[in-house]
Formats: sequence, C-alpha cells, structure tokens
Amino acid sequence: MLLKNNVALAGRAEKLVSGIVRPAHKIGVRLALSFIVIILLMAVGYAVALWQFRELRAQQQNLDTAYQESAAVLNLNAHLFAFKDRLEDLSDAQRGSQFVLEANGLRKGLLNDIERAKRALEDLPPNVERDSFVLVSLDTVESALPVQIDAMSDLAKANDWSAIRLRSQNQMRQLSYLTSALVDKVASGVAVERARVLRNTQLTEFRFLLTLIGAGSVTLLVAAALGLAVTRSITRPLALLDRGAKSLARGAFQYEVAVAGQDELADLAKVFNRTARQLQDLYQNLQANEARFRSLIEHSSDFIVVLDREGAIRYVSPSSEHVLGLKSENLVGKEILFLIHPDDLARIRSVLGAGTSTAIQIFEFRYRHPGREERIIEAVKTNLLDNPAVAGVVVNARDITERRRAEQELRRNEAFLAEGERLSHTGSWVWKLGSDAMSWSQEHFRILGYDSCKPSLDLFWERIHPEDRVRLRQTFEKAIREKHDVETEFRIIQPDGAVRFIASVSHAVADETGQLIEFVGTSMDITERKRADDALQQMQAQLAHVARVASMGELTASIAHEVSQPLTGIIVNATAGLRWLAAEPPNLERVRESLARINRDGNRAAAVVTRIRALFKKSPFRAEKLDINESIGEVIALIGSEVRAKNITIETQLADSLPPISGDRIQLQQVLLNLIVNAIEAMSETHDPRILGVKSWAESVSGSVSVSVCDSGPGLDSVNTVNLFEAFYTTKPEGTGMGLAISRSIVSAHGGQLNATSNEGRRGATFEFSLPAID
Amino acid sequence: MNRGESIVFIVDDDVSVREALSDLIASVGLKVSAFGSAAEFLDAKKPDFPACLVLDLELPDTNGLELQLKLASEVGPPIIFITGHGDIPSSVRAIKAGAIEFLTKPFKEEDLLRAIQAAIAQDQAARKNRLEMAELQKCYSLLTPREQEVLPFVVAGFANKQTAGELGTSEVTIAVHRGQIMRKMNARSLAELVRMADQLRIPNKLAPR
Repeated sequence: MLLKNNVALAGRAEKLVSGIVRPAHKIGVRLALSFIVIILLMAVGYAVALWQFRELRAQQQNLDTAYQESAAVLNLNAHLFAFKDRLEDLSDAQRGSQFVLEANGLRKGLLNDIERAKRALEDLPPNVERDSFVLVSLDTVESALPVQIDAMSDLAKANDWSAIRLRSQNQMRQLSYLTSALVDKVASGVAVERARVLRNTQLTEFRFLLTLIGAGSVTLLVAAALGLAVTRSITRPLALLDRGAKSLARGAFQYEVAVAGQDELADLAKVFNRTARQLQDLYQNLQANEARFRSLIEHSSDFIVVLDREGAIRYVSPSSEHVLGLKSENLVGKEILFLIHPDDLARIRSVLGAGTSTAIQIFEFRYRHPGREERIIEAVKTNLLDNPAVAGVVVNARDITERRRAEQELRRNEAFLAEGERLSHTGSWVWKLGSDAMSWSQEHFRILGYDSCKPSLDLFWERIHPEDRVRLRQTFEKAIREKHDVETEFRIIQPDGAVRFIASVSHAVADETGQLIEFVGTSMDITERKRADDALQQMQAQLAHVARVASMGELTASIAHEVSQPLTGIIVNATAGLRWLAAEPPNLERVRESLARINRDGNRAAAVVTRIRALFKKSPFRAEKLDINESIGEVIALIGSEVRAKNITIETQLADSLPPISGDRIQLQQVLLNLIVNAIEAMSETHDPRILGVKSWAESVSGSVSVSVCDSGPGLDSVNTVNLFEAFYTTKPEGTGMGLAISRSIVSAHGGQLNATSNEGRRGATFEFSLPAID
Repeated sequence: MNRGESIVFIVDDDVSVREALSDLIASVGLKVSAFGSAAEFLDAKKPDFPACLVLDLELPDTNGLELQLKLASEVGPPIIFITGHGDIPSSVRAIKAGAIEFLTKPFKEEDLLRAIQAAIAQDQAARKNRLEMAELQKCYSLLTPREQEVLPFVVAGFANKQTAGELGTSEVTIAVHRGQIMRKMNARSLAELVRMADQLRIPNKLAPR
C-alpha cells in the first residue's frame, strides 16, 4: 500500500515536474516553483508529524484525567474512611458536642471531595468513555452523606451513641463500600485508559515514523525529479546553443538553433539565430562585395601591379592578362621593366627609379604584346611603401591604344571636316546668345574674308551686304522670339568688294529649361551654284524656246489656216467691193461695208501674227500678273482650226472671276499649247467622238488656280505615267520627248505642279496643273 | 448671167469668210443665204429654186464631206467645197461624191463664181430631169398591172404574137394592151417608148428566140 501510494505520488510528482519545468516559464520562475513545491511537501510532512504529536498528547491528557479522577475518588474514599473513623472515635468518646462540631466540618470536607471528584469526571475529554456508575455512586454519596451526618448529629445531641454506632456501622459502611467500589471502578478505568493510551501511543509513534519516511522520500523524489528536469531544460538548449556556436565558429551560418518555449534560453536562441542570420548576411554581403571588387579588378580594363621596394612585381591583378597577354602568376617576382619597350625604358626607369618619391606620377609606355600589335599603356604610380597595409608601389595601368587611335581618328576627322568645309565652301559657327562672342571654323573665317581675329557678331555683321542686313536681323530676332531654326540666304561683301551669296542654316539650341542659349549654324558660299543656277535657268529658257518653236512648227498648218481665214475674207471682200464700185450706179453703201469688213479681217490676221510672233520670241523669264483664262483663250484661238481639221470638239469650262496669277505669259501658253497639241495627237487614232476638254477653276483650299486639259484618246498606261515627264521620253514617232519635261519644269518654276492621270470611267487622259494665285 | 430664180447657200463657220462670200455673190446678183453650221442649214426652210451650196470642208458640228453624203441621199443642191487646208484625199472624195468644185482658200473669185454658175446650171438640168422623170413615173403608174407586165416585152422588140405566147394570152389582147400603153405613156413612137422605159430603168426582156 505504501509502494502504491508512492508510485501514485511519483506519477503525480512527474506531472507536477513537467508542469513546472515547462520551458514556457522563465528559469527563475521554474526554480522558484520547484522550491515552493519542495517546501510545501516538507510542510505537509511537518503537519502530519504535528498532527501525530497532537494525537499523542490527547492520549496523554486522557490518561491524566483518568489519574485525576482516580485521585479524586481515592481522596473521597480516604476522607470517607477518615470520617468514618472519626465518627467512630467520637462515638466511642461519646462526646456529643464535639461530635456535632466536627461532624459539620467533616461533612463540608466530604462534600468538597465529592464535588471535586464530580468535577474531575465532568472535566474528562468527551472522547473518554464515561462510567455512569461512578457519577451515580457519587450522587448517591452526596445525597446520602449529609442526611446520615445530620441524623447522627441529632443522635449525638441526644447522646444515643449506640444508634450512632449502629448507623455508622450500617450506613457508613455502605457508603464505604460504595466508595471502595468507586475506587476500584476508577482504578480499573485508569488501567484501561492507560493501556489504551499506551497502545495508541505506540500506533501513533509508528505512524509518525511512517509519515516521516514517506514525506521525506516523496520530497526527495520530487526534489530530485525537479532538479533533473530543470537542469535538463537548461542544459539541453545550452547544448544546442553550444553546438550552434561551434558551427558558427566553423563558418556554417545556416545552422539554426531549435527554439522551444519562451524562456531566457529561447530568447537567447532567437538572438543567437538572428545573430547567425545577420552574420550570414554580413558574410554573404562581404563575399559578394569581395567578389564584386575582385571581378572589378579582374575584369576591368585597368590592371593593378604592386611592386616591392626593389621594383619586382609582388602582385598583379588577373585583368593584366587581357592587356598584357601574359598569365598574371608568371609575372609575380619578375622585374617590371621587362614589360616596357626598350626605347621607353630609360624614361620609365627614371620614373620608377624615383620609387621612393611619394608623388603620384602618370606615365605612358609602349608594350610589345606577345600576340598582338604594340600596345600603348598608361600607368599611374602611387607610392604606398609607407602604408603598412600595402607596403608597396601601386601601379594602376590601362591599355589606351584604342583611345590613342580614336584620338588620332578624331584629329583626322577634324582635318577631314576642315577639308570638307573648304571643298564645299561651308563654314560653321556658334553664336552664344546675349553676347557678342562667336566661334567660327577656319572656313568661316575664309568665307568672311578675315585672317585671324577674335570672332564676334559685330565682325560678322560688318560683312553682311547692307541691303540684306535689316532682313537678316529681323529673321534672327523672330527666330530667337519663337525659338526656331533659321534657314536663310544673304549676301556678304568680302574685303576685296566681291559679293558672295551665302546660304545659312542654323539650329536654335535650348538648355534643359527650354531657354535658348545659342545658335549653331553653317554658312555655305553658294555663289558658284547661284551662277550655275542662273546659267541653267538661261539654258532652260532657251530650251523652252526651242521646244516652243518646234511645237509651233507642228502647228504650221493650223496657224496658216488661222491667217488664211481672215486673208480669204479680205480678198473676197475686196473683190466684192470692186464689183459694187463697178456697178452702174456704184453701190457705195455696199463698198463701205466691204471695206469695213476688210479692216476687221485685216486686224484679225494681224492679231494672229502678233500672237505667233510672241510665241516665237526668245525672251527671258518675265513674271507678270495675268488671267489664265485669257491665255487659254489665246491658245485655243491659235489651234482652233487644227482642232476642227482633226474633227475634234473643244469643250471649255472656264471659271468666272479667277484670281490672277503671277507668271510668264508666253511660257504658260507654251505649256497649254503643248498639252493641247498632245491631246490632239493622242486622239488621232480615235474614231469615237474626239473631245478636247479645257477647264479652269480656283482651288478654294490652297488658294491656287488649276487648269486641266483632257482628251478622249487611248489614255495612259501605268508605265508611261511614270516616265511621262522625263526628258526624251516619247510615245510618238516624231516626238522629241521634251515637251512634257519642259512643261513640267516651266510649271515648277512658277511654283506649281503638273500631273497626269488617266480618265476615270471613260477613255483618255487628263493633264492638270495648278499655280499659286496672287492674293 | 442667169438672173432667173436661183439661190446660193453658204455654210462656213468663219464669219469673215461667210460675210465676204455673201457679199461677193450678192454683187453678181444672185440670191444668197448664209449659215454658220450644217445644222442651221439643214433646219432652214429652203425655196424650191435651182440652187448650189458653197460648203466649208471643216465645220464645228460636222465634216463637210459628211454633210455632202447626207444631202446626196435627198435631192440636194450641187456642192462647191472651200477649205483652208485642202488635202488630196478629201478633194478626191468630194469630187467622187459629186462636188462641182473643190477650192482652197484663198481662191480666185472668178473660179468660185464660175463654179457657182456651173452648179446652178447643173441644178437646173437636174431639176428638169427630175420633172420629166416624175412625169414618166406618173404615166407609168397609170398602167394596169397587166400593161406593166406587157411593157417590157414591147420595149424588148417582141412581136405581139410572141408576147401573147410568152404570157399565155391572145395576140389581140396584147395588141389592145400595147395601144393602151402607148396612149397612157404619151409615146408617139415605139422608139420613144423604149427611151422612156430606159429612163424608168425597166428591165429589158431577153430578145425573142
């Protein structure tokens, strides 16, 4: 039963322990709880022991009471015997007064004893078995005694000693017996009590011992379990931490301590883990940085050489291999000078020879690359011999061959540019706004006719032709105001008085805020081109004239007809007039009419001749304000008979009140003539109605005037639409192929356009040109 | 010059030429009617006189040769062509189609006037001819169908007996028909009848066997 108890206790203790040592609690709390448990257990042991003691004392008390009772009863018995003996003595002495006197005292003493005995009995603890006989006996004694004494006293007064004696022998004896029985009774009660107490005491002693052993062992067990558990709950995480610390020391940052609970060790583990992670990050960053810097050094076009005091290579970065074509490990320990071209050696030796100099020095040398052509290396020497971290001469070197080459290229390009400017007569310039300062290219100096001076705006204006100055200034002022580029032409006067034509293109440069800061421009001397243009224009005019004459040749028959009509009229009228005159009497009225008609027809013939002469005339381009309808009418008048002879119907649709245009009348008529003649020829093979449509209209949108000439011939195919306007392109056996080419150049010179399209939905082609109107 | 009832039509789009010609023709005493285009001419009401037409080869609405063809299908006046630029093919076509003359401007006025006279004379003859023909046709229309059937045999020189044999009738009947024919046609002799039949383009029967 004890074992079972212990096992149950141990089980409970285990639970308790696990509750206490749970790492959910702080270690201090855990320890405090353990101690509290142990103290509680000890207190329980003490309590049990105390209880056992109390039990023991109660037994003792019972025994004491039994003794007291016994004493009281014995006392009563003794007094009673003493009383009886006295009474008998007194009675023997027969002294009545004495007897009465003493009897009262004795009665009082006996009553007191009885009272005391009764009290002793009543004072017994309630658990003590009470003998009813004792009390009853005492009551009996108590009630009987005074009566006996009073009776005997009365007898004594009466000196009836025999009665007294009798009474004493009978009555008192009875009382003695009663008390003697009482004494026996109490004595046996005491003996029983004592035996019970003794037994109880022994039991209690045994229980006490048992309790002591049980409580002690449970306390010990629990204390041991708690101690073990607490220790383990501390040592296990500590062991983990220890292992973590060791792996950290090994550099295994990824190790993570398992975190359980919320105690200080868990906190410590968390901190440890965090620290480990941070360390890992730090380490990785460090590694990455290191790798980056390493890669920077290894892959940079620069390479670094560290020399010792004697000039031997102590370190050379791997990127040197790329530049030098030699493995870096093969260079370590070598003398650096062996890398240097012999011709540069002396110079470089002087630089590196001053190895002790602390000044940073930049030097350049040639290097004979084992696999490539000669390289040019630029190096910066830094003396760090006194720097304990380096303790060497650091040479930072790079291959500048390409740069040198690019510089050469640049210089060559600059030379090319200057040459290009010179050949193309184009100078370039920059003008900083808000200042007088300009910069000019060499050619610009030459164009303006300056030798060497500080370029300025004033010097520039000085050369501008006075007639162009105002316009040019306005152009630039407007460009500055509106922040746009300028493209303009002007004249300059060179120091020798030669006038040159300049075409200038300049770009307005703005800064990031949109503020105009400068103009960058070119000035091109286009004098030669201008002259060539003029010559070309002259040539074109001549060519146009030739073409015109040629087309007039084609129209000879028609023109002859135009003249012969009025001539016929004149001749016939003259004949008729003569006849009227010859009549008897002469019909003068009819003669007058004839003469009027002759006059009219003569004028008509003269007009035709004038027009023809105008077309034949070789005149330079002369622009005048003209009505295109008028020109169309004149051309149609010239070719009217040709059209009729070819059985062609002319349909004209000339818009009223067209705006005037500016142009050379003859040249435009030439274009019209050419287009109409082409249209007529296009219809020579046509048997369908031959219709020549001539239209003029104003373009409302562009404000230009358009003219179209439309035929009902075979039309254009896609091939000849493309080539139509090319010189010498012709579909006609006798054609020169110049007509349309010239027509187009004439229209272009007038700022217009000449186009050809095939008619839509019907046969034939339409040629159309438009010319800007004068507003 | 014949100052009888006759008229000259002029069609020319050129006003100078038109007016000058009108005046010239008027100056020789002929009636003149001038038109600017073929359409105007065709639309105009024309007097039934001997006439001629002075026609410009190139007209705004149509070609002179086309107008000539058109007029030939009706009974048109003889045509004198005038042209600003005469080309040989056109003139050949015109003359073949019956034009009196083909004159190139500027022409001599005598040539024109001569041509006009010739043309009018031709028109007069033609008109006379047309009148005779009309007369003949009128007479021919009076013939009964049987007589019209007999006529070709008569003008072919068949004897009455032969004709009767051909047509399956009696000689007497043919003789009666023949007399009727001569009377109705106002023919004084067989020879005249033969000429009339010729004019009427009555086909000859084959000579008798």
